[in-house]
Amino acid sequence: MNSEFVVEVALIAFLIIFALLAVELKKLAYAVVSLGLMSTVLSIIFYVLYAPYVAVINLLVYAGAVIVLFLAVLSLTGPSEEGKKEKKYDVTAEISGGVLFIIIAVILVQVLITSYIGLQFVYGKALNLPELVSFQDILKNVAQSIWQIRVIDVLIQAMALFVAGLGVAALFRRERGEKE
Amino acid sequence: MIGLNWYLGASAILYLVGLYCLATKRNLIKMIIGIEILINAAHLNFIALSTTAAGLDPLARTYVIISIGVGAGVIALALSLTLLVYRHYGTLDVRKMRRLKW
Repeated sequence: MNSEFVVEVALIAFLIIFALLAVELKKLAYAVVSLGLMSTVLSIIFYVLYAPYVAVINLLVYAGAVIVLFLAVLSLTGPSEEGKKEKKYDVTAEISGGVLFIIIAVILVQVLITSYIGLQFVYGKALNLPELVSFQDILKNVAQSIWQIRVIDVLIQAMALFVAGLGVAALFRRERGEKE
Repeated sequence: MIGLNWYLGASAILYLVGLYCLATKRNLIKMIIGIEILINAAHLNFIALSTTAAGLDPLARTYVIISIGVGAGVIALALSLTLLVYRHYGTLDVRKMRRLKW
C-alpha cells in the first residue's frame, strides 16, 4: 500500500463525506460551505486524474462562483425554516420518499452492473478508443480539441451562458415601484 | 492512479447521495444542492472513464468543460427562480407551494 493509494482513497472518502454533510446539515450556510469543500476536493481529484483544465475550471466555477451565488440567495431569503419544521414528522412524505429512493437506487445499481459488464466487453474487444494521447500531451490536445473540433459547442455555450446571465438579471430585477 | 473501480464507485455513491437529497429534502436550496451533486457525479464518471493506462481521451475532458459551464447556468437560473418563489410564497418549503396561480 503506497502513499499514492492512501492519498487517492482519502480524497474519495472526503468527497463522499462532504457530499453527505452538504445534504444532511441543518443550517443551510454550513451545507453550502460543505458543498464548496466537496467541489474543491473534486477539483483535486480531477488534477490527480490528469485533467488540469477541468480541475481549474471546476475550482473557478463550482467552488467559486456558484458558492457565492448560493450565499447571496441565502442572505436574501432570510433564516432557514428547515430546523423548525423537522419536528413535525410527516410519515407519508418520509415513506414515499424512501420508497422512491430505494426504487431509483435499485435501478441505478442494475444499470451500473450491466454497463460495467458492457464496458469490459468494449474495452476488451470491440471499440478502438478514439485517439488516446499520452499524459504529457494532454494540455495541448484538450486545447486543440476545444478550439478545433468542438468550437461550435463552445460558441453555443457562450451564448447559453450569456442568455442565462440575462435571465438571472431579469429575475433579480425588481419591478418599478415594488417595495422590499 | 488507483483502479477505475474506485472512481466509478465514488461516482455511483455521489449519484445516490444526490438522488437521496432530491427525493427526501423539501427545502428548495437543498434540492438545488442535490442537483449540483448529481452533476458532479456525472463529471467524475466522465473523467475517470477517459483516463486509462494506455492514455487519455481529450474529447471527454472537453465535454466536461462544456458541461461545467452549462451546469453553472442551470444552477444560477434555479437559484434566481428560488428567490422569486421566496418573494411570492414567503417560504422555501416545496410542500407549501401548491397553488398553480400566481
